[in-house]
Amino acid sequence: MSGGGGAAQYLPEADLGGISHKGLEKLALEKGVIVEHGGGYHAYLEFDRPIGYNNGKPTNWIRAELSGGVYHGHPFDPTKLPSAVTGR
Amino acid sequence: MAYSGQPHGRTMFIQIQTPGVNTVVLREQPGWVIRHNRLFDVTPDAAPSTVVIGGNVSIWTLCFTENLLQAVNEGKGLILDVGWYPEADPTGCYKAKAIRIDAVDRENPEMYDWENPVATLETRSLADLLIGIRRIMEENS
Repeated sequence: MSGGGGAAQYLPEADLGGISHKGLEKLALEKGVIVEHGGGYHAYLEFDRPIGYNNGKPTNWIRAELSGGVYHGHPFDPTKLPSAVTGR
Repeated sequence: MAYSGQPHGRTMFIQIQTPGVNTVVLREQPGWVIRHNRLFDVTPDAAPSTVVIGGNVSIWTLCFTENLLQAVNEGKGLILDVGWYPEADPTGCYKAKAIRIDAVDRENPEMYDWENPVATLETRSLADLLIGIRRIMEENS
């Protein structure tokens, strides 16, 4: 996944107020804007401070993905957010 | 840490349909297990004319993400990662990499040897991508 490919990287968990990376992804799935398509779910959620980097830039946004009963995610570039999520 | 998300002040659920678009059915090669498959059978050339129903979400955002496919060969210690780069960019391309899993930290993708892939592929052709995926799996099964 891209998180491992270097384009996106979480801050260390010690810098995230005690929330694990998986915890962030679970929060996104619970509280975020959900886009369902083709049997999978993308969840977008903005935090009140950066949770990591995407393409070298800090970002407050995460995108978590749930498919086949497995979820994962990574810090997300806000310029790539769907219009349906931003409302713009 | 708190979240300031829910841009519209409430949790939203947006259901999108793309008639005629399905995930690609891949035949697993010996030793390989497909863990994640969001690789759709819509080609980049056909994407602009694909009908999207249900919300203001582009086909590029739905079907051309960095997280399209992941397959694992535990025996060989390899992971095959396929995505579209740059994400959702109509000028992008498919990229596939076979990467060695870290022997100790097997569940942490950030520890994998991304800088020294065993095999790589870049193409805008879905057909060529599928051929390449099969070849990479066969050569590393």
